[in-house]
This record gives sequence, C-alpha cells and structure tokens, in this order.
Amino acid sequence: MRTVVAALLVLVGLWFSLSGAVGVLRMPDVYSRVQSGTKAITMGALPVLLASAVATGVTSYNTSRAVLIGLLIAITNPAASHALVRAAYRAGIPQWSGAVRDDGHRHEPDRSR
Amino acid sequence: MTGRQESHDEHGRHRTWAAVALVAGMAVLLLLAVTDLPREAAPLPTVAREAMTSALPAWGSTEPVSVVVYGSRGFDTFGETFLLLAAVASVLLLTRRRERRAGFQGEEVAATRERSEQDPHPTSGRNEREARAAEREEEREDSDGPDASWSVPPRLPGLTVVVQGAARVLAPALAVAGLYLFAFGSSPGGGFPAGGVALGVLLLLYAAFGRHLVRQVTSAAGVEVVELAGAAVIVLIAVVGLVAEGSLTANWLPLTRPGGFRSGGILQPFSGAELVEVGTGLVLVTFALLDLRHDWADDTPEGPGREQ
Repeated sequence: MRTVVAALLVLVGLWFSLSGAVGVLRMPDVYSRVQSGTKAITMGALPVLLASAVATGVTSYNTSRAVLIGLLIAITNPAASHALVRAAYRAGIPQWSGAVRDDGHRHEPDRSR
Repeated sequence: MTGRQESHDEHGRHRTWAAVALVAGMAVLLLLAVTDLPREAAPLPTVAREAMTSALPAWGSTEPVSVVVYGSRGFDTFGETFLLLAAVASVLLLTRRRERRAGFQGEEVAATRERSEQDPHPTSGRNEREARAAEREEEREDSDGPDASWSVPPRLPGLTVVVQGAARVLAPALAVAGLYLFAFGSSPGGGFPAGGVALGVLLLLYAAFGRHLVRQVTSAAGVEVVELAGAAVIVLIAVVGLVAEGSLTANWLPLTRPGGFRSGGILQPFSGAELVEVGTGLVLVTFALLDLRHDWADDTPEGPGREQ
C-alpha cells in the first residue's frame, strides 16, 4: 500500500516536472518560462520528497531529511524565481507581444535613473 | 536534414536530432549506471573493508569516512588544507588594496618638479587629453559615486523584501545545518564541508542585503589571524602525532565512547580546525574577489579613489 502511494506521488512529481520542462521550452517569454520552471521545482520535487517520507515511514531518517529539504525548497524557489524575474524586468527584457498587462512599472523605481 | 542547413535557419529552430541524441545518450548512461549498482550483499572493495574494520578498534569512531578523511588518510587532508592556504595567500596578495605608506607620492605628483623644469609650458595633445579623460571616467566608475554609470553593475543596497525575508529564514537554518555537519555529520561530514556551508551562508546574506552587512565580518583584519590560527592548530595536531605516536596525524588523544561528540580521538579537533581554516579561507578569497575594485594607487592624496 505504502509503495503504491509512494509510486503515485513519484508519478505526480514526474508529471509536473515534465510539464514544467515542456513549458520552459514552449512558453514565449522569460517571465512565463520562469513561471513554468517554478512549477517544475515546487510541484515536481515536493511530491517526490513526500513519496520518500511515505515509503519509509514518518519517523524515519529519510522523512526528517525530506521535511528539511522540502522547507528549503519551498522558501528558496519562490524567492529565487522572484529575484530572477525582477532582474529580467529591470534589465528591460520585453514581455511577449501577446501579453495584456504590465503592472511592474508601478512597483519598480524608474529605470532611467 | 544536415547541420549546415540549420545553421542557415535564422530563427534557430530547435535541433531535434541533437536533443534526441543527448537524451538517448543520457538514458543509456543512466541505465548502465543503474544496472551496475552494487547489490546490497556484494562484497566491499578491500580498501573499504580495511576502513570499515579499523575505524572502531583503532579510532573509536563509528564513521569510517571521517576516520579516512581526518584519521588514517589525514595527511591528504593536511595537504589539501595547505594547498587551500597557499591559494588564499596568493589571491589575497593579488587583490590586496594599496597599503598606506608614509610620504607616498604618486608618479604624477613626484614628477611635477622635474617636468616643469624640462617643459615649463606643457601643451597637451589630443592623445593625452583622451587618455586622461578615459582615466577619469574609469576612476569615476570605480568610485561608486551617485553618478556611477550603468556600465558597471550598480551596487544596490540589497534585493527586495521577498529575497531578504527568505534569506533571514534560511541563513540561521543553514548555519545550524553547517554546525551539525561538523559536530555530528555522519559519513561524510566534518569541518571541511562545514566550512563551505559557512561561506554559503555569508554569500546568501551578501546577495540579499548587499555588501555593507557582511563587510564588517569579511574584511576584518582578524579573519586572516583566525585562519592562520586554524592552520596552526592543524599543524600542531599532526606534529604531536608524529612526536608522540610516530606518524603524522596519528591519534594521540584518549579514545572515548564511540558515537559521542568527542569520540574518535583527534578526529573532532582536526575537523574543528578544518572548519575554522576552510571557512575563513573561502570567505577571505571569495570576498577579496567580490570586493575587487581598482588596484592602482592614486596619484594625488585627494584623488577620487576612496579607502574602504
């Protein structure tokens, strides 16, 4: 039973990793590509870590490590993607021509400074 | 479909054949690696068996990798450490700021008198004007002033509150993880990787909050002293082993109960000295290079370059 649940979780992780990879290849501009990448990490890695916890039991050595790694990923991934996108925005990388809205300029200091 | 045709393709279509070849190659490699994994019951190599069997009786430690790194092959670690120390010393020599000297005069000031004797009415040609303008421009960029241009990376005070918040949460957690790696890190663990973690924590803070926060830590004169103290402790541990037990990095401390913090004789002090030496060494090198600005001496005492 545990093995089945763990295998399903691994499959979920693999599915999101795959969709993230496809998104990185197919999305039109930096901003949406980064967005796909974050999904691949968050929803791709966390289920796999959960699977390792499920497979070996809550009190196991693996679970404590998985919790630690999961917390680190949950904190670093959004912060790093945020910094990456903000750097791209400040560097003036344009949005996809089909993008309908750009609220960034309201939050960023004038770049022509 | 040939590579030549594709290089003519202006918008760079994805080279499917390259991707397929790379992915297939990786898949074959992974498959080979997985099928070649040692089974659980497979016999260990002789070296590994030797390390496993000697760790407990000879060193009183349950961690064979730590015994190899800081004990039975401690001399290798010793060598690596001093290789690192030599690298740190050379980087610091190359990146060191000019030292304050009493009565130092730049070339231009020192030559003023002689030049005015030789050539009382200097006329500056186009070349000279251009060279001086370029030099002034370079100094202005380096001087970090409000008008520093965008051609040098702007020295922002730090990143956004998102990144800073993440760094605030992560830095203590990573520091604790590094100390854990040193104190109880099961094989492999110890001071060498923990020193790397220490650098990582400082780099995280540097990235999130800017150099002003970490400068007090990283540019303090004491850091070099601490690093050399760590190296001295390593030498001491190794040499006492040579004198007392007949071989370099031999154990000369009493063995305590295996599994505890102090088990393994000299392993833990050696590892701690490595933590100090490696951590401070990496920090010194990294921040010496990150803080590298112009390295020439100012010609005039009130020149635009600033001491930092």
